[in-house]
Amino acid sequence: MYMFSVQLALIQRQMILMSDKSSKIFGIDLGTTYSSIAYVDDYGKAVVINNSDNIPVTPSVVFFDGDDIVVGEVAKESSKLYPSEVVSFIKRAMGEADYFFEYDSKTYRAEEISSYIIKKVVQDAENTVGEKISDLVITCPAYFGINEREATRKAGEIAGYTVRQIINEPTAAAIAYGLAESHDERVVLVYDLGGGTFDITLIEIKPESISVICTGGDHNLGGKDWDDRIVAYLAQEFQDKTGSKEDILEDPDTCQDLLLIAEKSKKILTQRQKTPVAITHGGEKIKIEFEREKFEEITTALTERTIAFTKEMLIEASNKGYSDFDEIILVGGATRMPQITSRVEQEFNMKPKVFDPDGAVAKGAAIYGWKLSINDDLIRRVEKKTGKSIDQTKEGVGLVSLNGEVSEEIVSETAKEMSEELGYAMPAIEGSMVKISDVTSKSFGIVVKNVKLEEHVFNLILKNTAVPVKATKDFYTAVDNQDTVLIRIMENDTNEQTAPLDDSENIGTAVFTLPQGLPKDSKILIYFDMNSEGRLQITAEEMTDSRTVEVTIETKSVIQGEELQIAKERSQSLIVH
Amino acid sequence: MERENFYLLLELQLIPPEEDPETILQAIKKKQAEWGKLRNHPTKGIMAKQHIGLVPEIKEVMLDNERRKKEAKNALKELKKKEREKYLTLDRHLAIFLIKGPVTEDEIFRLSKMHSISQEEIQARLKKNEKENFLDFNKRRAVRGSLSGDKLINEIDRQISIRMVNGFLMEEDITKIAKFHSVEVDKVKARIICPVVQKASDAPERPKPLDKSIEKAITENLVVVSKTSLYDFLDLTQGEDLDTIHTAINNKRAEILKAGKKTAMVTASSELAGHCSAVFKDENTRLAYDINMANALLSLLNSDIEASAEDDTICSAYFEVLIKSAAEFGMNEKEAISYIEDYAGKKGWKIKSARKTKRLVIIISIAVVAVLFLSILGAFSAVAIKKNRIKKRFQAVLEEIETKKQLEEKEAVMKAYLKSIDNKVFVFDDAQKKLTKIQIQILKRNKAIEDAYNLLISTSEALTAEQNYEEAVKALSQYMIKYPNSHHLDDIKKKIAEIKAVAEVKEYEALQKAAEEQGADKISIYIEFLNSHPENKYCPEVKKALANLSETYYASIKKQLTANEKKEDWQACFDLCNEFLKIYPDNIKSPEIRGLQYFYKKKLQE
Ligand SMILES: Nc1ncnc2c1ncn2[C@@H]1O[C@H](COP(=O)(O)OP(=O)(O)OP(=O)(O)O)[C@@H](O)[C@H]1O
Ligand SMILES: [Mg+2]
Repeated sequence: MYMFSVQLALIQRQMILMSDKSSKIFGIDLGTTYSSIAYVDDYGKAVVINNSDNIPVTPSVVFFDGDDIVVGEVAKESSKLYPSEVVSFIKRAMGEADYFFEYDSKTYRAEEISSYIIKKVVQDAENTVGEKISDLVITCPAYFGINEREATRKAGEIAGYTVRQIINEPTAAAIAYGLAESHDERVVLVYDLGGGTFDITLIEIKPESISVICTGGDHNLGGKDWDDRIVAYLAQEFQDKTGSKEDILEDPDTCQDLLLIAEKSKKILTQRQKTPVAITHGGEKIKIEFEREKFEEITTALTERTIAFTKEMLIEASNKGYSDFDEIILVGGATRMPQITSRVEQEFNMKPKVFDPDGAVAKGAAIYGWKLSINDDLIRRVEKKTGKSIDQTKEGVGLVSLNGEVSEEIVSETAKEMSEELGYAMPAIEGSMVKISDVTSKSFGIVVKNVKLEEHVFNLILKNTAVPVKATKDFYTAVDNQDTVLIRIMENDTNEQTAPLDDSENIGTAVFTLPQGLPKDSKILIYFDMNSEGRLQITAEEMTDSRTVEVTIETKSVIQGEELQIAKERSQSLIVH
Repeated sequence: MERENFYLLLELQLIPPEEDPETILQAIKKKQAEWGKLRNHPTKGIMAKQHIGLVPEIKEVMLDNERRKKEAKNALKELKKKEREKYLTLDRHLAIFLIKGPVTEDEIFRLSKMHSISQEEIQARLKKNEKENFLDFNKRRAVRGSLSGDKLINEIDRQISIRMVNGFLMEEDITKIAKFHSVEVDKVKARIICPVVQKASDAPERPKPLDKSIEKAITENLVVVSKTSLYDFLDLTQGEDLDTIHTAINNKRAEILKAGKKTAMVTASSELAGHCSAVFKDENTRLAYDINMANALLSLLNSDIEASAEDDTICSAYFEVLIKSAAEFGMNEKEAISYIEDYAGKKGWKIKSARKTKRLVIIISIAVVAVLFLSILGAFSAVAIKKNRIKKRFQAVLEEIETKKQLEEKEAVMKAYLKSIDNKVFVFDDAQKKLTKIQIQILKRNKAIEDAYNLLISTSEALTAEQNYEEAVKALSQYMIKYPNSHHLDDIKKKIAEIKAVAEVKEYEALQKAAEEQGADKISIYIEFLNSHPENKYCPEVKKALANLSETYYASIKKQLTANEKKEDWQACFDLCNEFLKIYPDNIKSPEIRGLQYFYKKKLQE
């Protein structure tokens, strides 16, 4: 059981504010296939930090090697020798209630396995940068629902770090892009095809703000699917060439081997027209020439899916009054495939720009973290100066929206002092005040009964609404002295006020403990409060005597309670290699 | 997909059914671990994900006494059905072999390889048959011709679909199907979407076949969503036109998009929608899929033929059996013979048969065609439609070519078009001719460019020799404008630069000479040089020389000013200052002259 509550976050925040110097906040791109970490250096520039192999990206692959946990290239290469001890693509299982990985008769949930990846990239970065890292901003696909986001946050916590914020990958990419390029006002279509997810986002970049207009996509569509198509093709070729009927993919060793081969040849085909491939299974070996044309043929359906998602998102955007965009930027490693660029160009009649496909997301997260820490610093200084304590809730992503509590002059004066003292240029400090706003990628609601007493979902927050957002709905108690109300919280993809139960995912149950002695038909008001990072807080109020109602939320989809405790303890004593 | 039976899924004991909750939970956990490992398998991932998603329901059903009992009952039924499915083709083949007596060791060995089923298992199956006698070939039913309603339509569709293996139907096929079901020819025609030809030699080009691994992926996803084909997935029949199909795809997508639960079913649907976009991209890709469907329908028959061939030969007895087998697929005897012969022919197998086969069939077919020819004349012809479509596309390509400015662009368009069509298509020759035409134009143009270049070089050399640099550069520049495609442009640019460099030196030398000769009025010579050769690299030198003369010039101007002041010709004075300032805008004397000029201006205004 955990609370969708900002209480804890506020305490953490106060602790940071009390400490004298705010610590640096690092940005992590926790990818399905590759992860990376970045920070903003002393000159105010975002840089990706190399890992212990001296490369900027680390494969998100975990190898359980006896008592050791190995993450990265070694783990990936080990997968063909020890397929059942290696976990890849764990991000796809985030937020899945019944997924676990079993090793040595212990079970591990997706959050815990992800935490190893986080631990590895952070450790490596600590060694490279030579300082201790405690605070993180972690990215997740825009298309992640509440549970997947919460799971991502938990992964960071299990690893032992303070997760300051979860932000959307396309938003992060847009931040890095918006600050790297000129400050003209423009609407940008961010086409992000990574290893496991596809996000398509329309973002408005202005000198003073970066706002997400609309977002769509599929978190089960990414470079891995292109690899899978190749693997299926190679297995078929093996059958055709050897005349065998055996499904060679049932053999875990062969299957892993082919997955690695597939990814390699996919990468080669970005550069060349064909590549030789050798398939070995059961002592038999065949060689084929794998051609780009064939590759494109067997993956057309996937490419088409990304286009369909894009078109659908654009329809929604045009309903919001954005019927046009000025440029397309491609991020994510899989956009290096030439067929992606050409298909996108063909569809939209515009040459897409490839923007730092490997680094953009981590850098954007780092910049975001940097903004947070400057903001902390600024608030602390303003507080010291004015002697007022500033209650800046987490919603102020625009940073230092001090709600008129202190005058503009004091803020800018403090900023100037800070810039002098820290050696950042004033524009960098000002740049850190660019307001960033996002939207929800899903609709959220609760289960209610209609007049015919059939259950359906009543949406309180609709997809693509700007966050933070607050919504309310009233309820009436059914009997005298009712002591609890259970409400099923639902997530769905429809854009309408009501949605069928079957189309919605139950993401948790809210338990309302009512004050005693309420008569039947007492009015209870439920508040849905979604903050800027897409976390949902639910509160309720009993209207007759305006008493508060205690709310707790139960869900199985995210690690919690004892399981979480065990995972945290395991993590503490663990060194990741 | 119908929900899987949980007893079977968990591989629990069935006789007697496992009841212990502890054991059941243990089994669930074991399976969960297994599925977890398969979660990202390239082909089995979807099912694994589906199963993981089922865990809550599994627990619910299996821990409820009542529902679990029902589940156990269903499991037994399910098991029988599964067994039947598993042995479906094996049983067909065994039945064929049994016709001529006991199945030999050799045959069992062959079947074992063919089906990846152990020889022992096949023996066991044969033993079981001795008791239950299910392998009776004569129980097979040919399709009857007395159907009605939906059943009739479905059977007609199936027969059309089967005959599409080659990518087209023959007119005679239509008559045959019509006759078989005693319906009118038009009724059958109305259900046909592929090209129809009168003779095999008219057959349109065969589309590029669907990749086998894609076919498999489609089939696997269709199983998950319990559909039989992409048409079925879109809730359409095979006869729909492309526009309707595209609309259906979009609708399907919208439907999928709304599904907030990302179950395996939704993932499979999403993938199928992607396949639909690719498969129904155009008529050609769609035909490839239709051919594929026909092959799938015939796969059982094909496997019968495969099983019957021993040492690359199909013996007479098996040939007869196969003909009967083909009747199940709605083929009449002639069709069956021709189909089996074709199949064997492609594999290089011989058929031993007492029948007068192929030749006779062909003669009969021709006779049938001849008779039909008259009756079909004037009737709606799908070939014409197809032809029309090809023609339209060719027309569009020609129009596109017209819009292109560069010959190379035109060539590229034509080449791409030619590559996209088969050389049997009737417009192929025309297209090829058009391409040749363009290529000749390119050759011609290139030759013109070359000739002009040669001429240009001799002209420009002559002009340079005459020191007529300006004309030489002009000629060269004009060439560049006229022939932007020439590959000599870089050479020419270089040449121009060379000539310019030489010219500049010459011009400067001439200037120096002239200045020497002129003696006194060097200034005007320098000024004229600067005006007429503003880009000459010696301009700075000339300016310096001019500056050196400023003292003298100032003296002379001063003298003239005094003279004009006396005459009170303020205008002349003003102009003299102007002249000086124009040449020496920032000379040490300029401020003074500017001052004077201001004074003269005042005078003028008085
Ligand atoms: N040169 C290349 N050609 C084709 N694909 C490439 C190339 N380089 C990387 N990729 C693919 O890009 C994918 C990785 O991209 P990226 O690192 O952006 O994704 P990720 O962050 O791991 O995943 P996600 O953002 O979906 O969670 C992998 O599938 C990889 O195979
Ligand atoms: Mg990524």
